[in-house]
Amino acid sequence: MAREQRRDRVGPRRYFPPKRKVCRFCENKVREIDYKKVDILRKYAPERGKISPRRVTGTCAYHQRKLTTAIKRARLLALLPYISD
Amino acid sequence: MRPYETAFLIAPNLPEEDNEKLIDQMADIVSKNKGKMINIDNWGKRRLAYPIHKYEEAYYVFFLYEGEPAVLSELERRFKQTEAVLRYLTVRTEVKESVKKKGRAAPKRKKKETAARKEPPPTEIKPEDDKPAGPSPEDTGTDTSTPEVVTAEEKVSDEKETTPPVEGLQEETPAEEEIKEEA
Repeated sequence: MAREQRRDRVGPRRYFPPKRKVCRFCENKVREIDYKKVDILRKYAPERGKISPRRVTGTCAYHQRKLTTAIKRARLLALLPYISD
Repeated sequence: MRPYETAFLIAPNLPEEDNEKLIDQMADIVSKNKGKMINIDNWGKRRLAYPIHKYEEAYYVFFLYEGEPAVLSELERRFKQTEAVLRYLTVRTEVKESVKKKGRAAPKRKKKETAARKEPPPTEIKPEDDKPAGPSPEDTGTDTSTPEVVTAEEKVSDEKETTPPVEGLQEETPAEEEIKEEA
């Protein structure tokens, strides 16, 4: 049934599954995350300076752990804010 | 010798000369305590993400060095003394090589553990008929130690052979019951 309906449709309209997020650190084969690379860390702590969750960024568990420690270290050295509005 | 990275912030009101003097002093501490300086990274003045002691900016300096933990304690003691240092952070920069692979070796271990629990260790059979008249206590001590090792090895082999597959089945059954209850 479902297949027939799809064939009847005009044009290339198909079901696109939500794009699978891949951990960016895994993609670039980074193992350790440096707390000094503020530009990278800032992407994972946007606007209010909160660390964004895995479900948003798609980071793998291993790198999320590394990321949180890196962000917290950067905060201590005032490279990143604890809170910002 | 361990690789460390120490970062510290210097107050912005310090004149350039004093600033450089302070950095040299700290570098001296590292070398005096048999540490090996690899790199000094000076970022210069940089705006802080939030004010520290009412300063909006600070000098960022990073030391990369190798040394014993004594270097670290001495360095941190000095940081605490000098008021110009606003913050400091030391990190070990060792990179771990070992990478764990998923789903390997973990189930095997479990089996061994369960087997060890189920089977009580077999009674030790000590050979009594060697050297009936041992004059010195030292000789008897050495003799008894060797057969004990052998029996221990036998135990391990016995357990491996008699790993019962019943254990796995028992684990599955409660899950099945739960499913039935839900249905």
